[in-house]
Amino acid sequence: MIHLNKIDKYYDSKFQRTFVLKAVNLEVKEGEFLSIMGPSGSGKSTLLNIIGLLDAPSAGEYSLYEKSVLDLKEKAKVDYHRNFMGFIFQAYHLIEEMTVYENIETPLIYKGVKSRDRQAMVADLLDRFNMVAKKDLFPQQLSGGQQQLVGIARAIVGKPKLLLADEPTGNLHSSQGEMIMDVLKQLNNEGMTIIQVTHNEKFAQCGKRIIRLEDGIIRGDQVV
Amino acid sequence: MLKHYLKYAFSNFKSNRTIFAGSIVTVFLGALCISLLFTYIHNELLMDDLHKREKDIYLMMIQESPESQMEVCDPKIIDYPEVENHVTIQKYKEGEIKFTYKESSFSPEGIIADSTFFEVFDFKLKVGDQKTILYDPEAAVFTERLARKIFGNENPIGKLVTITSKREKVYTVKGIVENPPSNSSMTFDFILPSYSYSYYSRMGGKFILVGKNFNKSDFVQKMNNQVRNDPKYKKIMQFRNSRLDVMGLNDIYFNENSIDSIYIFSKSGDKKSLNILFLIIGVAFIITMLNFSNLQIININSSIKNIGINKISGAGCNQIFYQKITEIFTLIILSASLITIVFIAVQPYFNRIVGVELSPKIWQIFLLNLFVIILLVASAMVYPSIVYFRIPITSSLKNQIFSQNKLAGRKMLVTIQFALAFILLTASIVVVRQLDLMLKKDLGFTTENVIKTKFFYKPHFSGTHEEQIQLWQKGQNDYQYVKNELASNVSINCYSQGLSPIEPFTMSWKLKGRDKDYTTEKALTITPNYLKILGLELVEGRFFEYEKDKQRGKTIVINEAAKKYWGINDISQAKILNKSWEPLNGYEIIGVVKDFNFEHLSVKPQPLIMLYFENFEDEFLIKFNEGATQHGLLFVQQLFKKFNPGETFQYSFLSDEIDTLYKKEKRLSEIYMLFTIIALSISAIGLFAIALYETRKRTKEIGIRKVNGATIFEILSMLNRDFVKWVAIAFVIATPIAYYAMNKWLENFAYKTDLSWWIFALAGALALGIALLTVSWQSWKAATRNPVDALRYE
Ligand SMILES: Nc1ncnc2c1ncn2[C@@H]1O[C@H](COP(=O)(O)OP(=O)(O)OP(=O)(O)O)[C@@H](O)[C@H]1O
Ligand SMILES: [Mg+2]
Repeated sequence: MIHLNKIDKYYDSKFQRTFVLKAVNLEVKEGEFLSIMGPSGSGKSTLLNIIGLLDAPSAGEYSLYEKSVLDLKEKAKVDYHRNFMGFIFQAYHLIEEMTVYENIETPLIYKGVKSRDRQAMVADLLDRFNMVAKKDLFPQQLSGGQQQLVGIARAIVGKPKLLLADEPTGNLHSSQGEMIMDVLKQLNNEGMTIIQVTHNEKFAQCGKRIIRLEDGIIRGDQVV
Repeated sequence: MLKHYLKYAFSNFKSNRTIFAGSIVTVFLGALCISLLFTYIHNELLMDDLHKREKDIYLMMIQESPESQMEVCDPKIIDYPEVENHVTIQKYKEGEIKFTYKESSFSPEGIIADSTFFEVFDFKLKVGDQKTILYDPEAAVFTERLARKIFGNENPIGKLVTITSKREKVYTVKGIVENPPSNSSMTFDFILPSYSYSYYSRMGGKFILVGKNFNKSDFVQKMNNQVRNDPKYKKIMQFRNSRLDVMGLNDIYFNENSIDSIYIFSKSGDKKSLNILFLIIGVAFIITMLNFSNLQIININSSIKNIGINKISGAGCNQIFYQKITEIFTLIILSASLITIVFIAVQPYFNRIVGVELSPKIWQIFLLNLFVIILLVASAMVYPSIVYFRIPITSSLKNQIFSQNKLAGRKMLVTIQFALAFILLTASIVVVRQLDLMLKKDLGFTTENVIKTKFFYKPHFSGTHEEQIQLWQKGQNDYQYVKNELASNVSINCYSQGLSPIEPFTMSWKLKGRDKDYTTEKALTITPNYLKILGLELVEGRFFEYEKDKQRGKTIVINEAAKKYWGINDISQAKILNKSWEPLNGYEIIGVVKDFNFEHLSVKPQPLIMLYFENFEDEFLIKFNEGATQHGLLFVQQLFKKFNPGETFQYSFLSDEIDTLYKKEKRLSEIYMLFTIIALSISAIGLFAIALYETRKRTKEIGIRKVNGATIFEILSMLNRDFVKWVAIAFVIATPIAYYAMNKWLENFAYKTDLSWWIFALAGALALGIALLTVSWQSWKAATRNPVDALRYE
């Protein structure tokens, strides 16, 4: 599904060029659960952002389903974000002025889903994550784990094929982290492709495959 | 979708309450002052626009010599093909023509007009046929407000009213005309047909309505040629240098002060003040715009993360755009409604300040405000929008868009704002000081305890010759009686008759035996006590004396300026000619008074001629003894009632009349002060918002510094130093501009206040004080906060 070929990412400063990613080749198949590991600053987030079309590589080729997605028009990119992928972040990134329900609903509004269908879809997810009672609360009123659940719910409400998670458990206690990982595993079992960045060896093992980045170079690629 | 946008907008307002409130107040204050000033300027610029063919209406003028003033005139020369219609108007001021209905009487202002009046001018008749009504010699046309004043709620049509000027005649009210609107330079409360009688003695002004093929210079040429060559018209052009001219109604309003319109126009405009107001509008616009811009950048700064979140949730650029637009429009509609309400509430006060009766309709106000706000917001949003759409998602999620140099740009905006506010502040200090100087200046005559009033109206002549003689005799007796009473009352210091010193009339004068032609000079008709009542100083010769001089005699007193103007060395050798009254022998100069400022202090004293006239219908100046004003007034009132039963006693203090001379400056200073306060408030809001976000951003830094032992004072000075620097820069930029501008403005005055350094220092201190106060409020809160809280906060 995902095909990265010789991806470079560098920043030019006055005197030198610093590479964040160097000749990264990566192939991800549908239904995979990939964990990216590596020391801080090794370029994990950068790689994930490139895959998520949030950032553009400096060189190399990137195609989704054999179709190049470099030099996409803004509109086409938005289309991918709406229909193809969802994001989860370490810092949850919920809109603080909106309730749990409204937060989850947002992507559907942008997708143009009708109000009645939206209600049903959001209610389904709330039910699934046991959050029905919390739907009118604001993010600050939830625990970290609950906030991340809302984050996941928002990411998957539009039924994306690909879920990108940048340290989804980074801010959580280990028990809450485990709960989140269970949810991701379950989603993967249902057929969703997931790519996560994590520092936690145990959580990395939850996936089916682990790649290790060091100074922007893939040093290891193992199947769990 | 719209619902979502609205929800989003309101939640954004809620979470950025300070910014939201600041934006609303900014737009509110800015747009309010812009639209208030605009309605005023609009009214001024569209003066007399109510006449559909305003541009085709011209007023006939005559200029007796190249150096004399243009005067309106009424020549009988109307067989030109390009002239379609014409009307002659005589205007009577308040107090000149008396209307009596039942027991009560009124003396409103009004005009005597030809039957074509309503064909040339578009004043609307509510009752009556505009084609015929002024043909009816018995008909009187009243304005709605006069009808209401005289008849109350009764139907005015058909009521009989006695009108007294030189004679008495009964008229029937047959027409009602709408009150002249605020953009009419002619005001009146009644219109009488000139067909009715020819006993109204004032010169009239002739307006012509011209057709398409009218060419002004050709027409003037033609007219002058004809008048010169045709013996029939000899009378009009009795002097060799006289010249006929026309002036467009369009041009009259802003040139009214340079012509003698014989009261036809009661309003005059001032292009200079108007330009100043335009400037103020510009400044208000810029300050508001900058501030709004600033606030929006802060707003984006704090909502940038949400934008990122929305983007990864699948919001496209246009949706982000619509979201922002919804937010802005909500803000616009909210503030436009708010302003409309406040506008209506403050309109009367504003009207009082600018001295015009403006009453735009609600929807007009709303649309105007909407327009101003949209213009403001649109121009203010240019810069933030560029920033807004350029932010990449990855950095927006990290909440970092504004690097240090962009923040410097924002501080630049505040600096410009403060510089402008500072200029306004300096300007209002200077204007107030100049006004104070003019109001307090020793004018060279005293006005203390002096009132101006009238005891008798012009006699009207009717009945047989015997009756008229009797009437005249009675008038003389009454006059003598009043004079005796005034002279003997203990409360009264002295009295005199004649024109108020600030209301001289103009005539054509020249020095006998000199080549220099007649010029228009100012003159006062007075009685001998005038010198004493006003405390004038005699520098040469003598003043009028009852024993030596005859009223309407051939003697005059001039002022020093007149003596200098004509270059007279020995007054006993010089004779002054008056074109209408004494073109041959001239007047003998018996004395010279020291110059006094009988005119606005924008000019040095001009030549003045005083003549001894004693008419019982002339105005009386009465000076009361110190502390006896109340008693004296009561006495004068009783005396007035004795000869004018049923009429209201009217008087005015001379000092008040002088104050009204400076109405324009007063107005200007009030407007300046008002808008200075507004500009400063807006700037303070901007600074406040920036300080708020700046300190919030530095909360952690402050916490760390405090943990490391910084005192509150050190923190405060660290936070304030930056802002003080920017205000100081504003001061440096603004001072020369303010100095130059005010110097320029002061050139309009013959007597000017000095631009001393302390004015700038004071303005600077005020601006700095306001800045420090707003910033310190935030800094203090940040500096005194428990560092543990601050560190946990991040
Ligand atoms: N705009 C930029 N300009 C220059 N260098 C950058 C920029 N953005 C990121 N980098 C650098 O790219 C490198 C990789 O960053 P990235 O966020 O991908 O690291 P990471 O592996 O996710 O680290 P962490 O585990 O701490 O999140 C870092 O060394 C960072 O300094
Ligand atoms: Mg990272």
